[in-house]
Order: sequence, then C-alpha cells, then structure tokens
Amino acid sequence: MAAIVLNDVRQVIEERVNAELKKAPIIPVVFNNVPYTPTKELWVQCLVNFGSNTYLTLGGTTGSANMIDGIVVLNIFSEIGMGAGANLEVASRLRNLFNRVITSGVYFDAANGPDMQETSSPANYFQSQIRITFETVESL
Amino acid sequence: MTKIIKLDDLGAYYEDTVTSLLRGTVLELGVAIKKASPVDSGRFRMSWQIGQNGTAAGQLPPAPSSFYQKAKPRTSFYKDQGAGRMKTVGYQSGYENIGNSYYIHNNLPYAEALSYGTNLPPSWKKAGIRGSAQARIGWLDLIAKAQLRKTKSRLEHIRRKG
Repeated sequence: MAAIVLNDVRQVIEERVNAELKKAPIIPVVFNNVPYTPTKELWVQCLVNFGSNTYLTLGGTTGSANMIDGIVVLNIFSEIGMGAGANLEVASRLRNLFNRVITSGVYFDAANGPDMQETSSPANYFQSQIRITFETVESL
Repeated sequence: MTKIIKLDDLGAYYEDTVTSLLRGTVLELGVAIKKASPVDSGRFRMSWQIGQNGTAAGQLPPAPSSFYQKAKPRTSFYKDQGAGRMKTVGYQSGYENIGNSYYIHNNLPYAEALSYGTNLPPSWKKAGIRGSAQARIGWLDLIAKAQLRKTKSRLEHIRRKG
C-alpha cells in the first residue's frame, strides 16, 4: 500500500457536489483556489481541508496505518432579502450527500448546519454554511 | 498490578475517573481553541469563555490600550485564569462535573466570521475593521473532531482498566 493521495479524497467530495448541483435547477459551484465572479443568484462554495493525523497501528513507514481527519465546508449564498427557503433547499440537498455517508474509503460524520451566517463573506448575500468532518485511513 | 475496588466503591470510582476525563477534556479543548485562534490584536483569542449550562450574555471587555503598547510577547490579560485557561461562567475552572453541559463560546461580533469563515467579510475590512488571515477552513470543527477521538480513546482505556 502507499501513502494516501489527498487529491483522491478531494475528488470524491468535489465530484459528489458537482454531480448534485448539475441536476436541475443547475447551481454554480466554486472550489478551492478557483477564480469566480459571483452573480446575484444562488451559488455554492465547496472547500475541503485536512486536519490532524493519528496513528492507528504501530509500525514505521510500511505495514502501518494512520487516520486522517478532514472537513468539507459548504457555503451556500442566495439573494439577500428573499427569505431562507431557496437557500435551505440547496442546503438540504448538499447535507444529504454527505450525512454519515461512507464512500470510497471516506467516512463522513453527521453534518453540522446549515448555520445561517450573520454576515456573509463575500458581503451582500444571505449565507448558510454546512460543515461535515470526515476521516479516512491511510495504509502504508 | 490489579487495583482492588470494593463493590460499594465502584460507583464512586467510576464517577471520579469520568469526572477527571471531563475536566481534562474541557481544559484541553479550551487550550486547543485558544492556540488555534487567529490573532491580530489578540482580543478574539482572549474572548473565549466556558459556560456551565449556559453562555455569557455580553462581550468581555477589551484589554486597556496600555496592553497593546507592550512589547511582544504580551502577558495574559486575564491573569486570574492562569496560563492557557479561559474565563468561566457559572463555575470555577477545574471544577467541571458530570451532568452539566459546558459551552465554549466567544461573543465578539466578528467571532462568527473568524470561526466559520476564513477571515473578516470584505465589507468590514473596507470599513477599517482589522482582520487576520490566519483562520483555516473549518478549524473549530477539526479541533472538536480531534478532541472527540482523544476522549473516546481515553474512555475506552478507563473501561478496560476498570
């Protein structure tokens, strides 16, 4: 076995989000480090980050296993002053994509949120946020 | 070596052990959150509080201006809490007990942006409110997950040891 390819984990997540948001009504989605000029309409930002790494077994650089933590942060932006309905509809779809799901060796925890953000970033949107931590095993 | 516990003392033994686990968890989590908090003036980091069965209503006061003029490293403003500890609400730090809920919270108006965003909203920066670019994506949840794993593993250890 080899060290984990972090881009494989990222791909698992981003492909799921992309496939879901391509279904009608299509909603634009932007990922880490991709330029995007938002319009007034609904759009989603999908961010993936990795966190702590813990030993699962004894051993060295071979024949051992680690547990890697990570998080998916989904920011859902909708038009300001139009209520929360449209935003939460998308949030439900995205939440269901990951909520306690196990896929391609990535174990997603119960989803946190959607939390309504008091101040959106970028400004002038109604923003909600879903956060799903996950873990995956690295077999060396 | 085998630990001999009388049957009558079994309940108290487990209660003491789990209370220690709870106290350690609250303390460790508090320290981890403070350490990971993005710092510009340091007010965000020093505004974390732990409430027992509730949260504080208001913001903690900022440090006096003389504090910010001191050369770094600065000394802790809330000296009574000790290094790395937080201000507590409704109880004394180190006396957490089972059956209560503990809320680690931050009442600063920009705490949400720093905790769940990656920085302050652009409009705030335009308004001259300073920000820090150190906040990592999802940093609070990642700390909570790491702590949950540690606590579960310690609880498992207690079960096996007991």
